[in-house]
Amino acid sequence: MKKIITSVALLALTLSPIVTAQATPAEDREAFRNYFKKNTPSKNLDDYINGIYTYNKDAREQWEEIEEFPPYEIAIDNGRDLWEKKFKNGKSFSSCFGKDVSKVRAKYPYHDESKDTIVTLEGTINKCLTDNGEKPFKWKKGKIAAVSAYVAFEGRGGKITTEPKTEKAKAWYNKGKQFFYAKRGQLNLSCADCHVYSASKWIRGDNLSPALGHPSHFPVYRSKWNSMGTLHRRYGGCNKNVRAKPFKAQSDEYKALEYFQAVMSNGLELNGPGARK
Amino acid sequence: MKRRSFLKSTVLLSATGAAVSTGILSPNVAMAAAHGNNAFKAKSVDEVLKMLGATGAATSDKIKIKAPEIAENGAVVPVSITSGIAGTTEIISITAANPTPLAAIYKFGESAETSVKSRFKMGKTTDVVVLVKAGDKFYTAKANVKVTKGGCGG
Amino acid sequence: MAKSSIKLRTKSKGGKIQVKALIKHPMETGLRKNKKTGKKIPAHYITDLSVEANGKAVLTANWSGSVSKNPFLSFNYAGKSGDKVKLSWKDNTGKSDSLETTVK
Repeated sequence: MKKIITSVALLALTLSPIVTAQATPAEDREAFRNYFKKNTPSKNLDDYINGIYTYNKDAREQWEEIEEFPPYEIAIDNGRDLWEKKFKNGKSFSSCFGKDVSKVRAKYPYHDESKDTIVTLEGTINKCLTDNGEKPFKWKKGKIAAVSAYVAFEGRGGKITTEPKTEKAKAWYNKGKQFFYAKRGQLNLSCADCHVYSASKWIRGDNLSPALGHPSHFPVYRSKWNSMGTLHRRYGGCNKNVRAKPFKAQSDEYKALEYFQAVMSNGLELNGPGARK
Repeated sequence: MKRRSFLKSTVLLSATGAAVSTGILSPNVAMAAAHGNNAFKAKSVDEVLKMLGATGAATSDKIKIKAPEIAENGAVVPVSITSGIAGTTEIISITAANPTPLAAIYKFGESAETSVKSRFKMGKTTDVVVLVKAGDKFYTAKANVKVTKGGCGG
Repeated sequence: MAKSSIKLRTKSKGGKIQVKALIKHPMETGLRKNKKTGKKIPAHYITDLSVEANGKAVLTANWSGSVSKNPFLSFNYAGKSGDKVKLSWKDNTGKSDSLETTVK
């Protein structure tokens, strides 16, 4: 009980001036967007899906050069092959996800009421494999990122639809919200400290991207990784950067965080996979 | 001029000849090494220029280098080089601060526009030194690219 | 049938052909160390590349390990629809690949 009180208090402290602990997700979202609009505006709401490139012109030019023929195209091709390849039992990913791959990406993440859990795209990819007697992929890179890249690519133009409708879903949303605003690590920074209050500013050699729009463009090919990586791979790296112990990919903490971020970006266009530094 | 280059290739051939016979290099690669450029092994810009016969190249404002001021990530830096010098046959890109600075040599056929885009690795802040060969002469231009490391993306 | 390492795009525009290529290749310099074993990862990079249009070389390149992984290349040449464009590469280990496409 004590823990909950402390975290609510923390929440109240860190959340203001943006949101209160009692606001609805829709109210939170409006306050979140107004904060960005007021403090670090981009040319329009849609451009936030381009992350830091909405602020940094020199970086945007480099990104546009890379987008001319982006390295993630190789992953999309690999992902397409994996998607079409039949499992040992004759089924394939379409058997789990449906025949129209262009409709897949926009479904995720969502809250499963009966299981009371957050369902992510990567989670469903591996569930499809194990349900069909195949070995699951590793969570953060390689094949899972390739399939995710293919699905993201085919789903471009769709909109983020994540919205908590039930009390159980809202509980997960609040869990993600708390994670987002809680300070962590030796550097004692919350996600919000960098990606809301300091969006567009520099932290040593890096320019901070806005949290608004974050989930639209994953998975990403990062020049630093020289490979594709999922959203949870990035979460782990980010937590390590503030010298906090990272959580496991697809852990409850990261699923809740992904859920919260998607709700904040509800309605924005899906433009994955992305290319980043 | 011809004699010098003949001697150069003979020396290369005998060195690589040994490598071929001991099975280190396949014949194809040996051929490439003999005809290709040892300038790729040079450890400084001056050495690269010397090996290419480009020492004393005149600066030209007809060479346009489009490279970022601050590279987002040194692993993938997009660079676009265009030569407006008449009779250009080669564009050469040198990343001055890299351990072996010579990065690429492009040779253009008659119908090609003398402009090329590629992506380079830059280990740290560096000059991108470009050489253009037109006829028998070399021309040069350079651009500086800052490479940072550290922070949360790094 | 092995998949090509080369993705080649050509576009005819105003009397010139735009050629863009993305090649799947590790482009290892030979200077990087394997973080787990501490051993150097052997050099493995494309050394020679050529692009031909209708059998005639329009661009040839000599590359070092300083070229980025999964290298990209873009240039233009004077040509027309129907041209057969072929890109070939060879690396320091003797591996090679090529791909031909017809300009639409």
